Order: sequence, then structure tokens, then C-alpha cells
Amino acid sequence: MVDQHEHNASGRRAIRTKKDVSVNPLKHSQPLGAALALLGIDRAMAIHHGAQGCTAFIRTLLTQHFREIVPMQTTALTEVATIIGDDSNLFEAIVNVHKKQTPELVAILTSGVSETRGDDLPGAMVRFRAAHPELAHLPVIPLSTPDFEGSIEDGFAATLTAILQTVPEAGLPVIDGQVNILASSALTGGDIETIREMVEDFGLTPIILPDLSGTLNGAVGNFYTIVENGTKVADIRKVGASMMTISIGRSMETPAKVLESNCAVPYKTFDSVTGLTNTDNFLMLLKSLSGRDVPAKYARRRVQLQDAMLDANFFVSGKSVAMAGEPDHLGMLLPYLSDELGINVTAAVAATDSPLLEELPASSVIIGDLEDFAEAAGGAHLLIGNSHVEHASTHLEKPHYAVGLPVREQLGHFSRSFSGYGGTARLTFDIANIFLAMDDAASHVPPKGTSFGGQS
Amino acid sequence: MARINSDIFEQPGCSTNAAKSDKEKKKGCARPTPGATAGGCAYDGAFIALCPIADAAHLIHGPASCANGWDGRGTRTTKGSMHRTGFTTGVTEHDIIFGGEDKVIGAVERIVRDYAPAAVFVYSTCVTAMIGDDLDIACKTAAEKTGTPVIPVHSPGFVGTKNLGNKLAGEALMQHVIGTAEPAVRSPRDIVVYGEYNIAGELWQVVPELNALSIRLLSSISGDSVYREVARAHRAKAGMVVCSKAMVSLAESMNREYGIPYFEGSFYGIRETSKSIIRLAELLGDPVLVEQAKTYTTMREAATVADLKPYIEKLRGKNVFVYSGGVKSWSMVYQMEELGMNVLGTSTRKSTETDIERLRVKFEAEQKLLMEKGDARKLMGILEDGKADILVAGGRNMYNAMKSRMPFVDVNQERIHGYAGYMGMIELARQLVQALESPIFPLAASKAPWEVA
Repeated sequence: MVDQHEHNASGRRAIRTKKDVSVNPLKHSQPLGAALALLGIDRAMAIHHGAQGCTAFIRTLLTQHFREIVPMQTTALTEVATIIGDDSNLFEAIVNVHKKQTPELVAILTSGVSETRGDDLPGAMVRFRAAHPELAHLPVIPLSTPDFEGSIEDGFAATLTAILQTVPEAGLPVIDGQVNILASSALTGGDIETIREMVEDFGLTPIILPDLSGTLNGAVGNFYTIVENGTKVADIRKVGASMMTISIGRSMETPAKVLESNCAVPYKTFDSVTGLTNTDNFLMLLKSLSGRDVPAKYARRRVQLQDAMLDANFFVSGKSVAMAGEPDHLGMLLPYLSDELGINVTAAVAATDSPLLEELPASSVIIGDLEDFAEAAGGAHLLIGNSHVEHASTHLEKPHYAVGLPVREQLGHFSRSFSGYGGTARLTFDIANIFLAMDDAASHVPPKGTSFGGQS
Repeated sequence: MARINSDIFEQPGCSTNAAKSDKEKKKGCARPTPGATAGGCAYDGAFIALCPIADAAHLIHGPASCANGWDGRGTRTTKGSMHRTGFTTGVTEHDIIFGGEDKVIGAVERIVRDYAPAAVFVYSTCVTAMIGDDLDIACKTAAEKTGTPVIPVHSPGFVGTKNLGNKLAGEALMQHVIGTAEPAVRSPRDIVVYGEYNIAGELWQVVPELNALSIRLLSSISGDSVYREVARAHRAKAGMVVCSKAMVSLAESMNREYGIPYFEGSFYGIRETSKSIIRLAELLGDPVLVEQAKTYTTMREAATVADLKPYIEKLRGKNVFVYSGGVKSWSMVYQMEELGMNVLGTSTRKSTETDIERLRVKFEAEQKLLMEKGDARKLMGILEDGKADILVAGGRNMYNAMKSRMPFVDVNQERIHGYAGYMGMIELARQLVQALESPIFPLAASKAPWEVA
């Protein structure tokens, strides 16, 4: 049902579908990505500059996914406020949030309303500083997160880039053992825990930005109205003193570059820490950064992953998958499934554009929606993607492996790790078990047209 | 900008408005506070009021943020799955400059061609209202081109709250849908129910009771419905507004236009269910039916009370706090009391003045807490003083409640258990007992042994 394919003039292989209507959207808005990034920073507050409903949908979606409180605020633009177009709602919102929640960092996110109105957010910030000298200590970061383009990872990366442009102090002496980890929106809380453990096992001190493994991973037992337990703003101030920035997920490369040019911190990008080779490389980097040997437990876990891969071999060989998701997420799972498990990837559908799409090991790569996915995924044995992929799964009568955002139909998804040897082994078992069940069921059905004679 | 019928703000049937002084009426609805506001917008309200119409396509004319919530509702249906398919024009900067009307027409043509819906509802949003898209013209053109009803819903988020959005949805139905189809058979016992969205199948818990009295649900607006059923609603003989705030203005218009009498009622609780059934019978104007309804409800009440007995033994005297809103704020209080529980208090989020008045009268006599807003912080305080045995909570704030680590029953819109009618009472009692007896809550609230002095 794809109306028209438009090949990019530069001869790219990722195809963007062009149609008047998006059916079963895969992409989410940039403000959602920005809000998500801010949920991983201790005492940060996202203020959406828009109508009050702009946060309602985001809150509902994130609450359904994380099953946690997701604090965020809005400037509550009304029809009248939209026409008048002055700064009063914006300033009032910042002052009210400061009064009620005592944040350590505030970010202003533009919405469709403020973008269409053409608000001059940087100018408004200058006027805010003049009008409210008593809040001079509070970082207030204006973010341009237009609704009209991009998806979660764009808004998420833009937020980190803006924070790293403004908050870190330059010219700090290097602190031995301190390492920055920029964690993509496609990582779960479980992934972040795994990565933290690996870094700490080498005696290194990670500053993980943002750290969604705190607030959104069930780690706050009390009631809260502002993020608790994420990356400390004080730690963000000193990221310039780190030995290195390791960005995990391709979209994290841009913020890493900002830090390199502003604070001279070198960086290295990993598309993921999923898979044997990626984990090997990650551990070797930590070894060279720390000068310490790889702890013995990783040798044991590596053998366990190798064993998992061998066990899986019988069931994954000859199989194919199709996946829909954010580019970072496609780049985390598909290279492992394809290059290390030998599964054929028939189609990858991305919510938004990324240079990564050119490198994906998939027969076809589309930037589109879940209607495009249902169309392209027909030949695959297994569909991978968020809860909305369930529609295609039902329609095509193919199993669905839920990853991404939102995942509503299972508990604990966000605490699952897909990283390191252990996380990769778990992923391997999950996928292989689906194929095992499929093969087993098929083996009980005689081939069509076979005659067995018989005595009756 | 958005064209909104000013009548909406002057509904005599709007209990909020009716309760206001002339001065307050002029002020209109309360302005939301920047930086201290939660909750949906008018578009949200319009969308949730109509999206249960399961054989229609629901096209969101707006940018990605407005489409973030597609297929996110707990509404249940037997009648199709079109409403769970997300359609959006995905407005871009190009559309903002050149206008999005052609895109709407193109989108509708495409949807009709590939998905063949019974109708297409097109929702305007803040951005498309700001750029001045003429949704009426676009929908009219699209309808002519496709031969399918295409209904404009003027619901830009910034015009107001979710409740206003519900009203705008009702307005769209009144202008474009209701009266365009006729029922194959008509009956003097045909009714219309407004504002019941069949969340967790609650409409299904009630319809069998109506059918037992040969009362036919001619139209449900809009839980478990299809377009044709909504379009024939003008032939109903009586109406009931279930979610008291949402659809009163539509019920009022239906009364004015088609002479369909209505009342505001609830199916939460044994007494309330019986009262609603009898009231429907009365509005249908058939004395025989009224007698039948009285006999029937008496019988059902007795049967329900008998079924509830083992649960009530366990629930009697337990202290409960109801942290909900709207019509539930008072109707669930009655439910808890019927289960023998002691209600410590309730919140009145999204409740109308009438809702609140009902509670005020009741609570003043009993010195209970009426929490004006969904103030989660205050709730935590109430729970920490240790008087409550169990909490009943819903809405987006349900995880606030969860942090209290206390026995807890979910009445959120995404819940999976229905609590309506006589059947729902038994389900509610079962859930309450299960929560009270669960070993999880005390363990979840326990401190690590090394933290205990």
C-alpha cells in the first residue's frame, strides 16, 4: 500500500515513503525524546512550551511504558495566550516550577504551537534572565524540538547536545579514571546497569548521561514530583575532566563531538554493546583506559554466550526477521542478529533518518510507518518492534518480539539488559526460543500431499 | 482560528456552568496555571470521546505530538478494529506554509481506498487551527470525492480542557452524524447512552440487565459502537449520561432537537445501578416497564448481595481512600459503602459542581476529607498517617499512589477489570479482597533488615 517511493538524490539506499497519510505511526515526536532525556537527570524538569495537552500524550505513553511517575510541565498555552504571544506564560511556568519543585536544571521544549507561532526562545531567555536575576543560578536550556520532523532519538540527542554546550565547565584538569558514557534513548535501564557494572569492574568512575536506570527503573521507592536519582547536575559540570567519552548508540556521536570541541575530551562511539564482538571491543577499550586486566568473570560469561550461540544455531539458521524502530535501536540489534547469528534481515523500517541506515545489514531499509512495515515484513519469520507491531503480527500471523517504545504488554521490559555477554545471551535465547517453538509446531504437521498408506 | 459554537459555553445542562454565578460564567472555564498543570487538552477529549466508534477511521490532522497517543485507550469493542489504527496527516513545515487542506483530502481518499471505513472523523489540532486550514471545506470536498461521510471535529488543544473536547465531539456528532441513519426496526424501549466508553468492558456488564427488561441500547455514544448506530441515535426514546461531565451538552442538544429526555446517572454501585435502570424505565414513559424494572432490580440486588456476602465479611470496617475523579469521585464512594467499607475521603479532580455538591452534603455530616484537586503530595500525607487500609486510585497519577506501597485497586482508564453494574460490584469486591490479602504490599513497604535500628 506504499503509494510512492522516493529515492534520495544522493543515491542512498534508505527509502523514504511519501504519502498524505501516515498509518500506524512509528515515529514519536521530538519533544517526547527530549522529555525522556531529561527524565535521566537528577532534579531536571522539562517544560513543554505549548498547550497543556502536549505533555498529556507524552506522559500517558511514557507512564504506560515505564509504569512509573514521569514528571514534566507545560506553559499551558491557551488560545488567547497563543494569539497574544508574549513571554508571560513561559516565565510564569519557570517561576512556578522553581517554587514547587526546586529543580537544578530546567529545559524549555518547543512544541508545534510555539514553533508555528515562531517564538524566539533564545531571545525570551535573555529577557527572562533580565526579569528574574534571583534565578541566575538555575540553568534554563532552550531547546528547539519541532514536532514536524525527527523522532525520539533526534529530540533526545538534541537535548544532550544543548546541555553539553552549556553546563560543563571548560579547562578542568583530567581526573584519572573518570569516563563519560553517553547513553542512547534506545538503551533500557537494564542496559545501563550492565554498562555501569562493566566500567566499574575496571576501577573506572563512569558519569552516565542521561541515567534512566534510576528514576524510571523502579529505583525510587518514594513519591516524587521531580526526577530523582539520575545524572547529577554537579557531575555534568565536570564531564570536561573525563579521560574519554564513550557514546553508545549512533545518535550519541553529535553530543560527544560537542564535548570534544568544547572540553577536549576524546570520544569513541559504539553502536551498541550487544553481540560478542562489540562486547569484546568494549572490554578491550576499558582495559586500555584503566590499565587493568579484564576481570575473570567476563571470560566465564563470554564462554556462556558462545554456548548460547551454539545452542541457538539449530533454530536461527535459515530464519529471517524484520524490525521497526528508531535508527539507534536498529543499529543495536540487527548487526548482531545478522552478522553474528546469521539471521537474514528482510526489512528494517526506521522512524527517522540517520547515517546509520546506510550501513544496516538488511535487504531493504525504509524510513516510514508501520503500514510500510507490514508491507515490507511479509517474508520474515519474526517481527521485532514496539507494542504497535502487534497489529502487523496479528495481520500477518507472525510472532512478535517486543522491543522499543512503547512496550506495554509486558512487565519488566525496561529492566531487561540486551548488553554485554549476559544480555546478548538472553536476547539469543529469546529469539531462538521463538524459532524453536515455530519449528517444533511445524514438525508435528505432515507435509502436504503425503500419503501414509495405513491399515484402515 | 477554530470555529466553535458559542452555545457550548452556555449549556443550561452543563452542571459546572449552571452552578456558577453570572460573573463566574463570564470568566469562562478556569485558566490553566503555567508550570503547574497536568491533564489533557480539548483535542485529547474530542478524540477519546469518538475513537471508540470502531468502524470509522480517526484521522489526526496535526504534527507528531498529537499522534503520540494512538491506540492508547482501554476501550473495548466487538465491532471492528479501525479505531485502533493510527491515521495522521503528520503536518510538516511545508504544510504550515502552504496549508494542509489538500493533504486532508488526499489522506481521506487514501484511507477510503485502502481501508474502506464507514466514515472518517478528522480532528483539527492547535497547529492546523493556527495556520487557518478550512477543515469544513476540506472534509466536504473529501466526502464528495469518496462518497463516504467525512466529519470535521474542531478540537484544537489550546481551546480548553479534555471536558471541552468531549463537548466539541458531541457538537460534531450533532451537526454531522446524528439523524443521518434510521434504525431498521424501532421500539418504544430504545435508549441512547452518552459518555460510556466501554473501558475494560463496563458497558458489557450493564447491557444484559437492560436487555432483560427488553430495553434496547439503540445507540451508545460511543463505547462498543459503529457509525451507523451513532447516526440513528435521534430515534431513541430516552437517554442517560454516564460520565456526568463529558456529554451533557450533547444530551441537552438531543433533548432540544429531538425531544429525547435524559438524566445523569451512574452504573457504579448496586443502588445506583438500580436507580439508573428504574429512571430509564420512567423516562421511557411506560408504567408497566417501571413496575418490571422495580421487580427486576429488587431481584438482582438480592442476588448480588448474596454473592457479595463472603467478600463483605472481609471488607467490613476497612478504611478506604478513593483517589479518582469525575463521576467516580462520588459513585465509587457509594460502591465502597455498599461493600461495608469506611470511606476516609475522596478527591474531586475533574468533577462537576454537582458531583462535588453531592459529596459535600454527604461528607460534611460525616466529617470526611474532600480533596479539591489531585494533590498527590497531600494524598501521600493522608496515607502516611496510617489510617487507610486500602487505596482506590486511577488516572495518570496511579503510579503516584503505587509509591505509597499500600494495598491498592486500579480504576484507571487502562485497567483490565470492569466495575460497572451488579456484575462489576462483585468484580470490584473480589479485587479489593485480593489486594487486602496480598502478601506483596507489606513486603514492598518493608525496610531492609540492616536499615532497621
